[in-house]
Amino acid sequence: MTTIEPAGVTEVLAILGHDEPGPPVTETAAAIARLAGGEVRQVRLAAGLSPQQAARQVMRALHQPCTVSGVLAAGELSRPLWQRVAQQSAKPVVLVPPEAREQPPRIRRVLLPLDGTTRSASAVAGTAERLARVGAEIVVLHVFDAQTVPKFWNQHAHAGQAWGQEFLARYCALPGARLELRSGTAAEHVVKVAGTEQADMIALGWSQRLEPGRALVVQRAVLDAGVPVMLVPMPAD
Amino acid sequence: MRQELRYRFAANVMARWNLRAGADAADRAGMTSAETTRWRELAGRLVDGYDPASGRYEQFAGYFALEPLLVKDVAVPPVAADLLLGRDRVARSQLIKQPDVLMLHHLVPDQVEPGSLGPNLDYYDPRTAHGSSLSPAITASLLGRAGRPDEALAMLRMALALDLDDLTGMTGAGLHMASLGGVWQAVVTGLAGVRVRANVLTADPRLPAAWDGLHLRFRCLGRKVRLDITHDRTEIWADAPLMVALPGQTPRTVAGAATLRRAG
Repeated sequence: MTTIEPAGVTEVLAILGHDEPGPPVTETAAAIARLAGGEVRQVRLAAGLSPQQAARQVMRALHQPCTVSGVLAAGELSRPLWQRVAQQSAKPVVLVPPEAREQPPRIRRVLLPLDGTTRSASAVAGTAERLARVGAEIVVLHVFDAQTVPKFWNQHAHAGQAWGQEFLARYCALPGARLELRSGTAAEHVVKVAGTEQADMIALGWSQRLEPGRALVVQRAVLDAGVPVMLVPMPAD
Repeated sequence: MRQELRYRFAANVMARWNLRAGADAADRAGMTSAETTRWRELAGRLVDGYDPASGRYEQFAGYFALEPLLVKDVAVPPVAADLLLGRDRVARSQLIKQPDVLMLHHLVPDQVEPGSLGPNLDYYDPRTAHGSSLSPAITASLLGRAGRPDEALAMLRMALALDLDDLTGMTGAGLHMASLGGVWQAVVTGLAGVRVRANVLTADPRLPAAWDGLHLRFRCLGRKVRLDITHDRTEIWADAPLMVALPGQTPRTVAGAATLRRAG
């Protein structure tokens, strides 16, 4: 399980391009640092680096024992960099879309999409617990699709309540966690619910694989949700 | 209310049964009146959606004209199709969570046309998502009665796994008691073919090929009864005189152990 739980002195990296303005990356890093009880350290990338070189610089900084997470912009131009970093980092990486709305000083509400597997739930369990402990509201989202739809669903009101309670008990047993259920495509609903719930951040467990057909929710959330997306690496299949 | 009754054919069959049963009860009590005569008239006028040519009942008026969506085109059953496709989409199609028509054959088999079970199973099963936890057990019972024990066993196993394997994802909230009751009915009335009519217990066993035998203990008409069924014989034991028969045979009284043999 990967978490943002600190061990000793804690740093959250605000990773900035050589000419990139600080906000919203620095604001998000500050909010994450407050969450982790740590401080923000800016990593300013040198000019003229290739994506591979820049990724190596970021990974060296992320590899430091005191570093618990890295925050970087997730624009289209910087895609080669953030994809490399997100795929290689063993620590949670927070991607901030360029058009992200102003980040509040404190993360108040986090959307936690869960697919109903222990693997994805385990990946984000520590992070979710830490978020809840410092007062963030956890909104769990589960989307029914061809792979996740229940086999049985009796009387709707009762089934929804009983199934939801059982889902939270199994996958996110945090006091105050709230479950939102949707039917359809997970990627679309993550974006929609992040908007309707006015989430300050989305936290996703992910497999760090970006080949075609993989990580559709991650890619859609990063591109369209308009809020920072924390990617928490899952253990290998 | 009348509109609803007119178009819900299963409700019409149940209403017809109740009207006739009420009139019969009034007759037995010496309370025959113009009102009970009226009940029988109303019962006779209730349409039930049965088509003699196909042997099928229509789920409700207009059902046969809906989009002919089969469950295999959507998912592997059992599946909560409403959640997958949305209620509106399911309502516009022939996909059903659990067909009223087949439930009629289970609950009031004497109120449906003789010989209609097979055609309706053939038609409705491919359209049934079995998204109700009661559906697998009831379908197993019906398949057993229809002489399709291997298909019945597959549904029975699904019903058994419902809580044992937590197929609902919410067994932690409690067992599905209706399904467990349905499992018992699937074994007793479906695979063992037990029925009680006019104080006679009949057994019409159809064992799945995978089973060597079926041994049941239950109470019937105040007697303790034991059935030991294999593929070629049915033995019965009752602790007190009990009228028993295989289908089509003259009932005989059994007290203690006896073997029931099919004619020929």
